[in-house]
Amino acid sequence: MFLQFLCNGVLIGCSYTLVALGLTLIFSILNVVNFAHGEIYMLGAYATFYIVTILGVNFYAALVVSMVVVGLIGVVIERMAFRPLYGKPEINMFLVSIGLTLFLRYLMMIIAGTEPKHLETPLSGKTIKILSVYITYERLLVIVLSIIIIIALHLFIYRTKLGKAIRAVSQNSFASGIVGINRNMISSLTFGLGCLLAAASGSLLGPLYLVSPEMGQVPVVKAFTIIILGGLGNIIGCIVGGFILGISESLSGGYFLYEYKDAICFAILILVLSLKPSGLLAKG
Amino acid sequence: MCRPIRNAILMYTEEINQKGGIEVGGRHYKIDLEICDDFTNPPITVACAHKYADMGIKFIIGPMGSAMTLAAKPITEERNILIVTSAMDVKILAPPNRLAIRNNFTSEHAGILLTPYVRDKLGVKKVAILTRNEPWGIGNTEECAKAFKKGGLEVVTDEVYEVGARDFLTPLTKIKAKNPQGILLSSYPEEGGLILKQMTELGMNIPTFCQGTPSGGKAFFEIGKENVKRHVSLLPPDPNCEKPAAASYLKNYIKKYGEEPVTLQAAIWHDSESALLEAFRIAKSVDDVFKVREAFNKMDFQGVCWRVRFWPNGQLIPQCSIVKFDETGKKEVIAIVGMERDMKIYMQDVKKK
Repeated sequence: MFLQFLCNGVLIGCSYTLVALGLTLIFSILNVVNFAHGEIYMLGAYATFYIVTILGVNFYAALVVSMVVVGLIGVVIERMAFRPLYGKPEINMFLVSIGLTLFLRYLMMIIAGTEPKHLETPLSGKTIKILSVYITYERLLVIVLSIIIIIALHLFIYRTKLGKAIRAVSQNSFASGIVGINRNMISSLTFGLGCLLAAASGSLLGPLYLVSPEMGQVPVVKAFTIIILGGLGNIIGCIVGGFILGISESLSGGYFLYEYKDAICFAILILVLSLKPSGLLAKG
Repeated sequence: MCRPIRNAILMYTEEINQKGGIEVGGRHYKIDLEICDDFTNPPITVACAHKYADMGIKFIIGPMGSAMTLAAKPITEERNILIVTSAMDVKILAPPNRLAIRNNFTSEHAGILLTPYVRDKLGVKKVAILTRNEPWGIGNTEECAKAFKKGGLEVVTDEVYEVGARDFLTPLTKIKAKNPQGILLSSYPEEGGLILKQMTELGMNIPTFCQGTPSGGKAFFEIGKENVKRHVSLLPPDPNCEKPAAASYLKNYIKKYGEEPVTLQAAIWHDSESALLEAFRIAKSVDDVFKVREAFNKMDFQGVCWRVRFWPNGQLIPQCSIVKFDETGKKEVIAIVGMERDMKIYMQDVKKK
């Protein structure tokens, strides 16, 4: 049973990390606490669902198209909703992101209805048993693609010229402008990239769970927990936080009362923050 | 109020009024409906109850759902308003109930009626329960667990999950470790479908069972797919609407609204209105609440959903079917179960057509 719980925890951790990555990227570079991230995740899942079911496109191609489309939507959102508020009181940004959350959620209820949709992949229903542990191919796909996305993101941020520019804006926005970095372009790119990651997670997790207008509510809360636990704005911290949360949820739910798993996880968060207030792997 | 229920009530009222209304004590009355949508939100239900009381309304069809009915009942009892509810919580008719009628079976009945089938036909002796953490789920689990234990079944574990949960691997792994032979689902349709799917992912191929809620939505079948074949539900006796009363209701509904009612609750509410009108006829009164209440004890007629007759405490005498499904959601009645006026339980197998 322990191995199955551990495996379940790793799977859950992977899915949490995937959602939290985009959120932490946007926060660390733009200082935007984007409450609408869960709804962007939901848009990604819906985009994949409709591309697969209406256009009849293969799931993997739909995943890529969905990431690009939602990434572009992210660019528009950043330009229209957030950019005018940079340098203004933070409360304005909070209110806009909460408003965006409600707008996107209810918009999808009008367009797609409230009935949850089930997204199929070519791997649906296939399971393997390793020792005494059961894993589905769909969940293995989430793990593999999560690892690929994390590595790709790391390489992009630390090994490319654009990544270097993003880091420069993150460290000192004013000074990066003086040396010729187009800060508006970097803001759009970063927000679009964060949304692209959210779309990837929505598209990958949609088949495991369900696609519905409210599907982003729980994951975004978990994602905020993870980025606070790991250290605000720290990508490695986000990965570590995701796995701590997923595994502790699975083990605490498995060995104690399942209905109190969230309480136990938040107790861990409080404990970590009381010992290290800036999070496990915070920058400073 | 969900749309199919509203549609069913409006359609039936229109049919009655087109025929000249109902005859009570030699006079004809047309039905005047006042609809208050509580959005299944108890504070709004309370506001609706006050509104009706202030308008002098004496008879309410509804509310829907246990939390809403329990919230409204203190007001309806105090202001002498009769309610015909379909909510399943046993507390609704608990003494000192005066004016509440329930046109549905309860969670307790669900447990009592499921037990012989689960034990004798499915051969299940050890049961696990998976419960949605909200009043209906908890109440359903408590009542069914009591009935299972009384019927000689062992409840090996009861796992609870939060509303909004989508990943059931952890509670299912815990359940699997206890080696149950069947699982009672106190869940909503989309959760029920996911639970069945994730059970298969964990190599669990044991039967699941429930009263109607988990299998009451399209999502259950769309998500559960092949896995729904190992599930049985407790539903009203004619879930495919093959008997004349049900067939006529279904035909009229489709003709008027261009689609099938997606919930059996619509038919239950249709019967609640029928029962109230029948009570007016028997009581020969449309305004003496206590005479009308008394009349419910004397009625016995075939409704759309079931035979409508009540015990003196205002509870419908329950009759149900045990139903299996195919992956498209097509229902096959495999047994009829119910209780008699003297509370004896009966179960009859239904031969395959």
